[in-house]
Amino acid sequence: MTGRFALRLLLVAALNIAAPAAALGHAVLLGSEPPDGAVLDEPPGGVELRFNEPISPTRVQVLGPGGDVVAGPDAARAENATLIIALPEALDEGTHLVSYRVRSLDGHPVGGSLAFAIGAATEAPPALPPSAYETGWRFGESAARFVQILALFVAAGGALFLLMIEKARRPSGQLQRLLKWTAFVGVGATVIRTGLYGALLHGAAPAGLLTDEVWAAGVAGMRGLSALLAIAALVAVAAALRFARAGPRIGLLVAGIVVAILSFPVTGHAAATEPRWLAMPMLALHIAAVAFWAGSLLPLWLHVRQGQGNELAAIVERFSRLAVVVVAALVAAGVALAWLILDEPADLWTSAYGTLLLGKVGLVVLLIAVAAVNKLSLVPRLRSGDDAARRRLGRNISVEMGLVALIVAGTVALAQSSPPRHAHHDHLAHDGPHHHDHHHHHHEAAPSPPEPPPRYVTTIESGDRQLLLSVQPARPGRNELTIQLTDAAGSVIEPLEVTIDFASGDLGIEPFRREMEDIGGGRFGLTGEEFALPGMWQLRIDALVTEFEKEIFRTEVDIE
Amino acid sequence: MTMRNYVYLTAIVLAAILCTVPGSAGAHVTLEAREAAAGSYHKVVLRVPHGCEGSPTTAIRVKIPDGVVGVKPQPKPGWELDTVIGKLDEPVDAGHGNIVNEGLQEVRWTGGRLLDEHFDEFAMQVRLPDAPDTLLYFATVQECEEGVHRWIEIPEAARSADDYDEPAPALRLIGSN
Repeated sequence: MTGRFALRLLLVAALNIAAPAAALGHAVLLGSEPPDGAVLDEPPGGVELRFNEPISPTRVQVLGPGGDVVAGPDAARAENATLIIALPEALDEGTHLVSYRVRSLDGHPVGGSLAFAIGAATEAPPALPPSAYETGWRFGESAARFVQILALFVAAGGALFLLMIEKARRPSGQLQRLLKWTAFVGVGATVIRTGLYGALLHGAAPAGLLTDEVWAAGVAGMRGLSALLAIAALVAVAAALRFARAGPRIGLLVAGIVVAILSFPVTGHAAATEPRWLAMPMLALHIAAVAFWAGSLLPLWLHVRQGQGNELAAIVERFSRLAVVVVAALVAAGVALAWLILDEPADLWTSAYGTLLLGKVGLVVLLIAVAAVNKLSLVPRLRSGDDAARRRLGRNISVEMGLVALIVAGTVALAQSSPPRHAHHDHLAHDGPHHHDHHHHHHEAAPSPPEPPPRYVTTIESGDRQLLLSVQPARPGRNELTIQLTDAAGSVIEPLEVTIDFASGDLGIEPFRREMEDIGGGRFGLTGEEFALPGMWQLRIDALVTEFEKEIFRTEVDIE
Repeated sequence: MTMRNYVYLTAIVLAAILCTVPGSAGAHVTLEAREAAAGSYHKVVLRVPHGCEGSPTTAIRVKIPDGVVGVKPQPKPGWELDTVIGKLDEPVDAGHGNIVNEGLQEVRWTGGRLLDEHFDEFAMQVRLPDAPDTLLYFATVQECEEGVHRWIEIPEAARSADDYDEPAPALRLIGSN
């Protein structure tokens, strides 16, 4: 009875979270102190952001000139319609970035960034060599992620198995011990991964793991939230096993499953894929299906090894029937996600990401084949007490567990590579000294010294129009951006206004907007320290073509 | 599988999925009716719930989307009503055997003062094109004493109006051919 009550409670809670916010208003930033773009003589001691209605902070951080987190989420508090961020007394010279995300009365999130500099804006530092430790940190972080994901699947999937296949009976001592041990390992892996990610962001030496900044960087933003959710889920499942009474046990198991699933969509490629309203639920469905299937393998294996006759047959048959539905959902959600992430089907075999995905799909097909053999040939023979079939089933399940581990490893590798982007590099014939370089700063053989400064150039298409973007020198610090718009026939279009939104998912910087200046000849320019930190930046360029028509161009720029 | 297990399964997966679906935005200039029958006479009502960051609204200018004809705007006390007529890209059949080469391109209500704390509606009667399952965008420029809002953003592929700060008010045409 308490199980059903807990269930109803959960449904009500979920529906409340999902209910769309009443369409009232959302907060707008009226002004700030220091103002956006200010250059100050001394550290300001704090930052104040004034909105037009009461807000509450969701995620706030201030990054210093070196990319270090100068003020984290605890430094921010809201007083009615003002967000107050406390800053340390002493700050480095250079450009600081304030990135905020707040929630207005109706729950609608509002985000943005602003910059201020102390002393003088950050000069472009000499090109930093890639950290010698980067590969090590990346590999370590992936390995920790691998262990974390396996632990989450075994725990969440095991919980689902207990609830649905074993009818929420108290599990055997052996399964209990295994699940608790899994939770312990999972929590450890999550903690280790957080530290390793922070070290990766900082490019620190191994001793960096002992410093606060590295851990603060690892915990910042969505990564920290995801880690917290993972730990909470693992703890919930482990705690559930301690209860003899069905009510609290079921409640904790359900909570653990939901939180474990939620910890996934929070970061990663799918989380950043548009449209979010489709990608996130598809990911949640995919994760839930995988967790159930992968996590059920361990309890099933234990049963098959020790169980006998009809009881064993009943359990395995129940799982087998459910598994068909789950696999169908898994495949459907996976296909939907792949379709959303990849721009073109051809990417499947032309890009590194695509080939990894095909490899993963191949392994999944193999897994389904083994499962089919189990379901069609071996499970029916369990009822008749066929011992050879039982042992064969046990071996097959071990094979399935191995395949699942390989697939998870493949997924972690997938997360490290980037989905292919279609930025076009055209050599358009232009008047004037526009040298066209590809991504990583080739220096053209100029007829006369000095060498032209490095620059990044790309062409972006939207509808019938093309935008040529030039970023010079595409290094952290002061940059000069120029754009030019042309129509399908190649003639120059002169927009009325052009604005650029700068954002960086990697650095946790919310979008902030700058207006470009009309510099004549249909070109618009912007010079400033917007690219304050190295990393992958997402740009959205809005060109007001007529009073009623706006063309939106999106691209990514790697600032290093 | 028992009924209870189905309930568990659905509830858990639904709960997790629902938690990931983001809520909707509000406070934009929008249309009162989001859907209308294709080919029908329809009263388009633009709702203006806010000014520009607190500044009162002084003008509302709407661009009439292609295919919409027979536009008759509703006058408002305190506002001047103007229309801008221009040559259409393609002639349109306005019904009653009438082929039209020129049409209303823009409707303007100017000279008024709508405070940020107040709300108002701007209406016009139109004849919608006979094109079911399409979206019509009524791009609107809202001018204020200080500032301008251009509700003209049309969602790019694989995005929805919720992803934008200033989406164009959209009307979905429904019905059978």
